[in-house]
Amino acid sequence: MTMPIESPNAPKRRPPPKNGKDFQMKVVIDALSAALQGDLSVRIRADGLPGEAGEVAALTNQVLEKLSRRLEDSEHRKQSIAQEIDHALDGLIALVRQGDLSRWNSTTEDPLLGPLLEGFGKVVETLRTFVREINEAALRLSSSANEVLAASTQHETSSTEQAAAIHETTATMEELKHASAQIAENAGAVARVAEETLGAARAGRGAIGEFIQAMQQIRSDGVAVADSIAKLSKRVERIGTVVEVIDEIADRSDLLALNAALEGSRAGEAGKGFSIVAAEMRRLAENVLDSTKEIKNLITEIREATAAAAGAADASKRATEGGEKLGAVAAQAVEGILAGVQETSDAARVINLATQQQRTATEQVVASMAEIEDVTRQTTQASKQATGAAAELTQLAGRLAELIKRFKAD
Amino acid sequence: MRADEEIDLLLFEVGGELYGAEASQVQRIERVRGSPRPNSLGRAADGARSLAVGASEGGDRVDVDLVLGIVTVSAGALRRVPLAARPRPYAIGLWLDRERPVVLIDLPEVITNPSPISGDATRKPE
Repeated sequence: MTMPIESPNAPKRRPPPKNGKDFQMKVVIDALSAALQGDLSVRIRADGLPGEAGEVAALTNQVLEKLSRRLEDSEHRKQSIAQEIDHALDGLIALVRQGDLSRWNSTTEDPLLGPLLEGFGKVVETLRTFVREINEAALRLSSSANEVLAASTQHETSSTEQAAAIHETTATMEELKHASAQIAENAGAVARVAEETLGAARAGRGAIGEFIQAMQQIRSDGVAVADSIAKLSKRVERIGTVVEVIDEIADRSDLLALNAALEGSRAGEAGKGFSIVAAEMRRLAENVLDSTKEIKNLITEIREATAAAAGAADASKRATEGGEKLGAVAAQAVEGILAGVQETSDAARVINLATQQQRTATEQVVASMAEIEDVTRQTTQASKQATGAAAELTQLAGRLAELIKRFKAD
Repeated sequence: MRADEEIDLLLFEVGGELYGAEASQVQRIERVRGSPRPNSLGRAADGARSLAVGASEGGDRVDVDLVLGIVTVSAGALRRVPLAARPRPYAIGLWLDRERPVVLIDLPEVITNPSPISGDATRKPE
C-alpha cells in the first residue's frame, strides 16, 4: 500500500489519502505540521492526489525543498563562521597565553565577522589598558606593600621596644609602688616619732619651767640661808665678845687668885685658909679659862663653818642664778625646738598624707600600666600579624608584578 | 734653914722650862703691859704674866709665860747648888715636882743680871 506523504525518515511518511477532500487536506496539513516542527525532509506524494490537491502537494513539496536547501546553506555558513570564530578565539587565547597583546591584528573579509573581530580588538585593547593599569597598580602595590612592610616592621619593632619599655616601666612602677609603700610607712613612722618628739618637747618645756621654779625657790631659800648665816655669824661674834669678857674676867680672877695666894703665903700660917680659897678660886678661874678657850676654839670653828656656809650659800646663789639663766636659755631653746618640732610634726603629717595619696596613685598607675602592657602586648601581636600580612602582601605584589610582566601591552 | 721648915714656891714657866722661886720674893703678879721684857730666863710670849719683885711700881719685874701657882714644899726636898758650881748666879737650887725637875731661881739675881740672853723667847738660858 502507498502512502500520500513520504520523507527520508520512514516513520514520518504519511499514508496517502484514501478518499475525499478532507483526507487530501489532512495530508498537506500533516506535512506542514512536521515541517513546522523542524522536519523539513517530509514530502507529500502528489502523484496519488487528484486535482488541486495534487498541486498543493507539489507546491508544498517545492516550498519544503527550498527551505531545506536554504537551511543547509545556512548551516554550512554557520559552520564556516564558527570556524573563523574559533580561529579568532584560538588566536586570542594564544595571545593571552603568551601575554603579548601588542601583536593582535585580526582581519576578516566576512562582513558579518568584521564587527565581531573589531569587538575582539576592542576587548584586546581594553585588556592592554587593563594590563598597563594593572602593571602600574602592581608596581605601586609592590612599592606600597614594601612601604607597608617596612612601616609594619618598624611598627613591630617599635611595638616590641614599646612593650619592653612599658614592661620595664611597669617593673619600675612596681618597684616604685613598693618604694612608695615603704616611704608611706616611713613617713607614718616619722609622723609618729615627730608627734612623740612634740610630746617630749612639751614635757621638756614643763620640766624646764619646773626647774626654773625650783631654781627660784632654791635661790630664795639660799637668800634665807645666807641671812640666817649672817645672823648666826653676828650671834657668834656676839658670843665671842661675851666670851672675851668672860675670858677677861677669868684672867683677872686668875690673877687675883694668884695674888691672893701670894698674900696668903705672906700671911704665913694664918693665911693657909686664904691660900686654899685662893687656890680654889684660881682653879675655877682656870676652868673658866679652859672653857672660854674651848668656846673660842668652837667659835673659831663656827666662824670657819659659817664662812664656809656663807661661801657655799654665795656659790649656791651664783649657781642658782646661773641655773636660772641656763633654765631661761633652755626654755628659750626648747621653745624654738618646740616650734621646730611642731613644724616638723605638721610637715610629717602632711608628708604622711601625701605619701599615702602617692601610694594609692602609684598603685593605680601600676594597675593602668598592667592594662597598657596587656594592650601593648596585643598591639605587638597584631603588629607581628600585620608584618606577616604585609610580607605576604609584598610577596603577592611581587608575584602579581611578575605575572603582569608576562603581558606585553605596548 | 731647917730641913723640916716649909717654903712656899711660886712655880712659873718661861720658854717651856719650869722654874720655881720663893713666893716671898714676889710682891704681886700682874699682867704684862706692852711687850714682854726679855730677861735672863728668856722672852715671855704675849699676854704673859709679870712678876713684880721690887716694891717700886713698874720697876723690878720678871716677865714669864705662865704662873702655875704656889706650892708649899719641905726645905729638905730642896737641893741647893753650891755657889761655885752654879752655871748661872740666879740658879740657886733644884726641886723635883714628882718626876719633873724645877730650877729654883733667885729673882733679885735675875733682875740684877737682866739680860745675858736677849731676843728669842724660845731659847733656853745657858
